[in-house]
Amino acid sequence: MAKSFTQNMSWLHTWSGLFFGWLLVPIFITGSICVYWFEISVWARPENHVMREAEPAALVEFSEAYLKKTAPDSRFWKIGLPATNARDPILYLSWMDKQGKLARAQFNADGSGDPIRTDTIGGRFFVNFHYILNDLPRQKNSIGLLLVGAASIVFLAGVISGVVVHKRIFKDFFTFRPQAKSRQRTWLDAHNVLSVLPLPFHFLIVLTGMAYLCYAYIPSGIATLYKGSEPAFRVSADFSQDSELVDPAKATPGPIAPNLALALLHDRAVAGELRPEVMGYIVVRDPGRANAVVEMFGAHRQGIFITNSPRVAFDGVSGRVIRAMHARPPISETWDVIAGLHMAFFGGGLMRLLYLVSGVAGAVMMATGQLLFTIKRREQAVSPAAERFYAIVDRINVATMAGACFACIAHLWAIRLLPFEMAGRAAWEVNVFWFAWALAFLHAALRPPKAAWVEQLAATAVLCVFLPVLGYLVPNSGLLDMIARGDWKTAGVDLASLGCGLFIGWMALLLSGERLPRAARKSSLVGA
Amino acid sequence: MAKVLAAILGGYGLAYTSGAALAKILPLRPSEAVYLIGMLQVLLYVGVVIWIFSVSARRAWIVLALLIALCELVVLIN
Repeated sequence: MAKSFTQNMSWLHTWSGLFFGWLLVPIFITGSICVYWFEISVWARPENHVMREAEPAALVEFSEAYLKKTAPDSRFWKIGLPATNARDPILYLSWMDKQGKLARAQFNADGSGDPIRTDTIGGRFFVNFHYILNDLPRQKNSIGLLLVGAASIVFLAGVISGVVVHKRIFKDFFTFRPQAKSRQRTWLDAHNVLSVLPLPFHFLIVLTGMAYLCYAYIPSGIATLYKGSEPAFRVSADFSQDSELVDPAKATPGPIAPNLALALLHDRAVAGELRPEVMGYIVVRDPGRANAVVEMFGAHRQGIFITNSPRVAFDGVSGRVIRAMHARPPISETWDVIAGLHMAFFGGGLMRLLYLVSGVAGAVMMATGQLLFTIKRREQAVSPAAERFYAIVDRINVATMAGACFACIAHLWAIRLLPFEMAGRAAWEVNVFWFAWALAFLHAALRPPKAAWVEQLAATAVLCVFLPVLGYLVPNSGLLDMIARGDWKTAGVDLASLGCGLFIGWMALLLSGERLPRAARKSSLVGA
Repeated sequence: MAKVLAAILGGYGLAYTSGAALAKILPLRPSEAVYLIGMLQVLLYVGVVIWIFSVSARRAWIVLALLIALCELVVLIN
């Protein structure tokens, strides 16, 4: 028997919504948070809170001296200047050691040469979680990547099928009945309002997210054209193919170049439109050897783009320009804009706030969908087995939605509270996230679902509201001091946490006053 | 269930092989081709998932198999 298109879409919407919702709600929550990941990184390093930026030329000089002392025989240096990322301005040096491994050091950008001692993951974990579900390098973690990819595809299909299912969608949009007799009706109205209003955004953010890493999700292009080597593709796409590492045999030190003559190269860079103040990062291949190559990359471009341009490569001895690139070819540029729409580097703080609010609306939209599933079905549950299934769904709902929020704020508490001298501190910040989430699952399993909802949301709200207080336990991070300094970027993290805490607390209050339908109450008692 | 498998695995298979076929025939510099193919594959994948849920599972598998075979043929010829 052939079902109608609408019926098919309804099935797709309900069941894909349920199972992938468990994955997508935490992804949307962490994804919304990581709109501010640079700010969180700065916030996580108290020594960065009182900092003046030094002149780029002085920083280059310092970096060159440091790298010559630390890694004289290295074949690869990279000097990341603060202008690379104005939202998280630090001096970031990396080099390849004798075993071919990348070593790194971070310094304050004030020219003092003070290393950044705080070992923290900053905002990076939220970024990693929202696209690979953990903290491993992406290349070693295709399962996480593909799960997020599958969830994204299903989300896009779910959004389209949702438009078909909720046929009266535009009429529904103007219908919100918080006082409606039936609770299910209210949740459905909320689900519809939150779906329609930011629908274009949800579609855009997931589609651009997929397009951003399209070559990794479905790697047949790279497999065919680059023999499956993503680094080879990156080198080629980044226009530095002529500076690939030379065969070691050919790289034996010739007449040692006097030095990198970075000061001289500055003059050359000006010719290539790369003035020192817009310099992003500098890569030196085979420094101090006769075949040395120096590549300079412009700072982050203004506007929507996420790549750095222009780029200039010099001969490291004579200073001759080997290659310069001022614009990317059209398809790369298109991809750059699409990826830029996802990353939200453009438009300033207000634009990012819009991204955050729309992302949270997406998480709440899916959450209300999850609740609808159980509210609607529990009342019609025909067998004890079905009732048990819905009780389990209920508990997983609590842990994946309220529990994920709880784990996120616990992670930020860990960033503030773990002792600075602790070994492997950054790893423990992440471990705390997983422990907190496991705790939330345990709690959801032991408590009746409704109580678990209220308690987990309340706990999250309390942790959010008190996060700013923790700033007084570490240097330079008191909320009022930061505001007095005019350091709104860092204070903003605390203020946002406060705001989220109040919002989540309000939701907990709403839910605690909520009366569930009789059948629901019965099943939650059975489940307990 | 057959449809879910067809959508996720079959859709991926078609997106993958069509990308491989395009990589063989697009007259672009390789890095440009990778970006273009990647973006097209994502759109194709979503479209295929929606389409599969609007037809019967048997029909979906047959059409998918034919299209994948066609793409493979293009890869082999070039």
